[in-house]
Amino acid sequence: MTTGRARGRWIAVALGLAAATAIRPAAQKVLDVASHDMRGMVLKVDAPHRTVVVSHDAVPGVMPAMTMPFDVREVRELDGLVPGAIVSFSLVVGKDSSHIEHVRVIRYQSVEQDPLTARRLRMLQQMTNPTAKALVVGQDVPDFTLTDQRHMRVSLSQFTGKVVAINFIYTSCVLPQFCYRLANHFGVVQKRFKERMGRDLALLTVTFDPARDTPERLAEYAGQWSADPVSWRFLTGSVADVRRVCGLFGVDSFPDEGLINHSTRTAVIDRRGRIAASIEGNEYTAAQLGDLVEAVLRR
Amino acid sequence: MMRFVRYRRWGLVVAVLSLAAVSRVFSQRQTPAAQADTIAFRIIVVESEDAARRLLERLMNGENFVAVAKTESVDPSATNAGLVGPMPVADLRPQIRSVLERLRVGELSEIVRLPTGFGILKIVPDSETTNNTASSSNSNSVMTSFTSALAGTGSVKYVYDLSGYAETVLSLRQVTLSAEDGRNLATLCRVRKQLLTSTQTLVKDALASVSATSPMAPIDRAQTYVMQGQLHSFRGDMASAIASLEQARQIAVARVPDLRLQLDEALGIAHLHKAEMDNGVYQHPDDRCLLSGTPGHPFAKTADLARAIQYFSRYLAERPDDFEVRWLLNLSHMFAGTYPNGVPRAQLIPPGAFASGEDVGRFNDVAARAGLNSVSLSGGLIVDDFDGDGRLDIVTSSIDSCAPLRFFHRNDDGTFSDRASQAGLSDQLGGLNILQTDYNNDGHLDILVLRGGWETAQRKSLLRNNGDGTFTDVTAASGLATVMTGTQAAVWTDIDNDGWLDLFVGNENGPAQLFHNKRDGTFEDIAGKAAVDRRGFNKGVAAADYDNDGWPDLYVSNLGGSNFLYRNNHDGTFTELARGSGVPGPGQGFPTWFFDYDNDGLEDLFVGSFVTSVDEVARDYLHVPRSGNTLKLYRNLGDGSFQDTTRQAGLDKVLMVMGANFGDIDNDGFLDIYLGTGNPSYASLVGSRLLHNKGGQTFVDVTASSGTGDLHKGHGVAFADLDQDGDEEIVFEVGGATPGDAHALRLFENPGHGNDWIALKLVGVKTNRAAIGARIAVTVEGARGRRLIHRTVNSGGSFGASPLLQHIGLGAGARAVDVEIWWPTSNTRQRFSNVGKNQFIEITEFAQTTKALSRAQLPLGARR
Repeated sequence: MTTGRARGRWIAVALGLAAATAIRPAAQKVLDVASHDMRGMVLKVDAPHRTVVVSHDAVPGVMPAMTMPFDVREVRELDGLVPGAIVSFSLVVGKDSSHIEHVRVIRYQSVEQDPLTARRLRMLQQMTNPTAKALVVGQDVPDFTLTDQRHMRVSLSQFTGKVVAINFIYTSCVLPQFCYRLANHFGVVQKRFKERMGRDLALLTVTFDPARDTPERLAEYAGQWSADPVSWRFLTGSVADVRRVCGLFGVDSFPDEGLINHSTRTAVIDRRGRIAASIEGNEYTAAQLGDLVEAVLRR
Repeated sequence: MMRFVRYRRWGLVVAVLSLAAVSRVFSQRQTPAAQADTIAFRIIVVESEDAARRLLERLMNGENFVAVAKTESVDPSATNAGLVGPMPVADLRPQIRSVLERLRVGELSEIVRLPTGFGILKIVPDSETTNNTASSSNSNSVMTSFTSALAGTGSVKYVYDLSGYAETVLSLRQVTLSAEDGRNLATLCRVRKQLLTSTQTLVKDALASVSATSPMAPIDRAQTYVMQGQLHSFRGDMASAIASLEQARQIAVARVPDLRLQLDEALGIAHLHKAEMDNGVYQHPDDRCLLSGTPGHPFAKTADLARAIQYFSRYLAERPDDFEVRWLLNLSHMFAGTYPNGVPRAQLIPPGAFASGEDVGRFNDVAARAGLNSVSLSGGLIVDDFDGDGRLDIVTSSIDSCAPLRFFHRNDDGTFSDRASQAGLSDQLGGLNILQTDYNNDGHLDILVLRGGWETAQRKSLLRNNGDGTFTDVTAASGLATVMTGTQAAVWTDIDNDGWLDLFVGNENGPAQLFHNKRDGTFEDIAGKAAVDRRGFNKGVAAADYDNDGWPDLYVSNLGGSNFLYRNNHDGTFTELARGSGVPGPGQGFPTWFFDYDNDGLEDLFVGSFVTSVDEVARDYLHVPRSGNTLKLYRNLGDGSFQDTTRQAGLDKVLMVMGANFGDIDNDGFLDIYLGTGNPSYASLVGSRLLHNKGGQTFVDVTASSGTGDLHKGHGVAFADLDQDGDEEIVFEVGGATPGDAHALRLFENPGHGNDWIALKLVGVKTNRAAIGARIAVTVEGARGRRLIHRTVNSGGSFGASPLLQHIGLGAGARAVDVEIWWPTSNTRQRFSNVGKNQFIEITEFAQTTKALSRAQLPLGARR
């Protein structure tokens, strides 16, 4: 899917027409306005032009999931928006123009037991032994070195000039909606950017369970997606090294009876080694991640 | 014919039937897919329901499934045009199973919700699966715990954890101790106590500051109260825990509605636990602790049970298909005396679900009468004769870093007395597991204490038996103190057949250790050289000569991932062969052992799975499809490989097994199994199980009829004839991970059954003195004709140590009992004909004759 602004406009116009014709009789009284509640991932924020590019979910019966630029009328609608943020908003489609309003960042707040426990334990950790804050969008990522599935030492700095997406998992994870889903997202991204993998884009999957996740085990795990060992590195290391890297990205992990309560985080690092986007949780799609990666590749 | 193949795309291990069986499935159109053993299908997964709907339309309009799968599916099977299987239907996610059930070959399924998106499936004709099977069957099986979006294991509902254990472990892990302090058990105890107090204070302070106008998000405010509730639960202060959880619930009701249901569940569990504590079932366990499905003795105080029932009922009104809460509701009614009639029909787990398949007699708990007044947390257990007086003593340990070893010396009467301090054992604090050995071949049994399991790296203790009723801590001098690890798994075995016992230790947080016995009281870790240092979360280790080549091999049970089978190369090195030999384990392995369950002279293998789900256990009882990894029984085929006979043997059960062991409860010559269960959560009340081995074929659940189904947290298990009347009692260390879950030790006395027996004490001369690894073959003429019974000298399973003295059931009317012993170090055999039955006999390596041991019956319980 292209994110070209021109094409986006075209889609918006098409959408306006489609929306206008699809409106139910009750709404036809106000022929020129339709409103749709939408949700999506922010890819790019352009405050001077009062636009935001969003990879949005499907609006059933109206439009499929796609990437589109949206205008806002008030620039403050864009406050607090950063790439990777999941937002909800209303799309107002007028006769000649459209805009979005009521933009709200949806914080990841799962009430599933495992993320909830991780969140609770993080609060306790902060009380007993406060840890450094995670990097935020725009900050430089300090270099780190870990070991990949082929026992090669891998440093973040070797990918300077390329876009890097990074996520965090452990292979003994028993809940596929978390680690497996995230790793599978990378599998989809790998397929989508087949031509650019390694050349322009690298994927890093870091385990927070170095005691069990040896390079051999990671290689086996990677095999599920036929991961290209050069462009998709599965990384492990010493407990201290892994902990430091997880800390940079705000990934918490708490061993619990052979399982691990953990937070869930995916980040995209730009060509200059800065955090371009950081996504908490598992409530986004591989397509959105791909769109985000593409947006960062285009910078 | 079963065989293992690897399904290429997933790395999932699947035991599949051969193609012939698959064809049979497809030729019988009427066979619902879920009843067939294996199935192959194609699947397309897309990321939104909307996209799936549009896709389904395209497919219905004739678009090619294979082409669409290749281009649009986000499942890894896309590279294989969406083809999955053939694989066991039972291994699939329930949503997929139920869709396949109604689907015929070639039809498109409805849309299925999956962790990665929304799927559309199509069963494929067997002609399309040929390539897949052919290409995958070349490689050997792979068992991993990798949870794909399609596998059933990914849909298990894990138990709600109310115990405060996660909070405590987090606190413990944040302390960095110096190596010296780490080795000092008293320091560990002190630090731990301080930590728990300071954590309580911190949370209290945090709450004091949030109750004002703090900017904390409502969910986090609620969670801070949950945290406080957890910490109160840890100590067993359930009234305070309930108060905190109620605060959390109020916030949820007002501000985070999605959180409320979970807090109803938590409050139900808290009230249930409070009811149990207030009614004294932890301190004074009796029939009220037993899962039997019959109205037992109801609790006297029932107010908290009524509250628990309220919360569980409210929960079930919104989520009627939650089997964990349904289970807890039924339990609450059992405790209240209102089961089964008081349980709403829709939520009833009928009494019949608990009925035993047969009756092996009723066991009674005589622990209190025998003076075994041990109320403790989870821990290890050894039953053996430590003072050489011919009577079996009992040693227990506790995960509590401040709790000393207990050494229950067997008195002349039917009682035991704790002699830990006289024996010099009272400064041995903590220890999740303990084992006996005779590492210095002096004829006195020594003790190994394993610490740090589930928690942090700690020291082990090797306690040398001085032969005068005392022990000396020789850990440092022996070289076992070099590296501290978190462990609860070890096995003593003579890996190089030099007559001295070596020690293999499985660790949770680092490579395993293989301590080679240097015959001078010291050990050297040769795990790296020996190639037995693969990493895994080791929860059980076992040793046996599974290939009958005269050298002991090793097995490691891992929580998460494949197990390891290390074949002894006879040169100090080992080769790992688990997958190729067909013993990858359940993926969530815990206790394990080798035993010859079918008496064919080959060591078979048992692995308990630790799936911490009450939901799954309840489903098992109700015969509702479930998804967790089952226990594993592997039958040794004698050619270096094993066959998975779990299902045929009736062991395809999902349980949270911890302590476990085997013995022969009815002296029929076949080894039975007792499984302790649970995890730290106070909701994990699923009951221990006694499984009777029927002729080496199947295991029949006799839990209810035997009265051995204690609901509480089962750790060390030993089978031992404590009253020397010719049948084995079950000694059972019960207690959870937290002070609020401490429980009394249980001693289930065998009611007897009239079958014959023989008990053999083996003494090695060239072979290690304790005779560990010696093989026994008993030939007996009896009611069922002539047969062979095989045993190997060891202490049994990996969590709980039975006596090294081998108690062997001979069945009814045994005649002409012949005994053959094979000694590993000397590689010699002794044969004794017409050995008298129903007696204790000592056999020394190279001796020409056996020696009868005088062992009078010693009834258990205080003399009246």
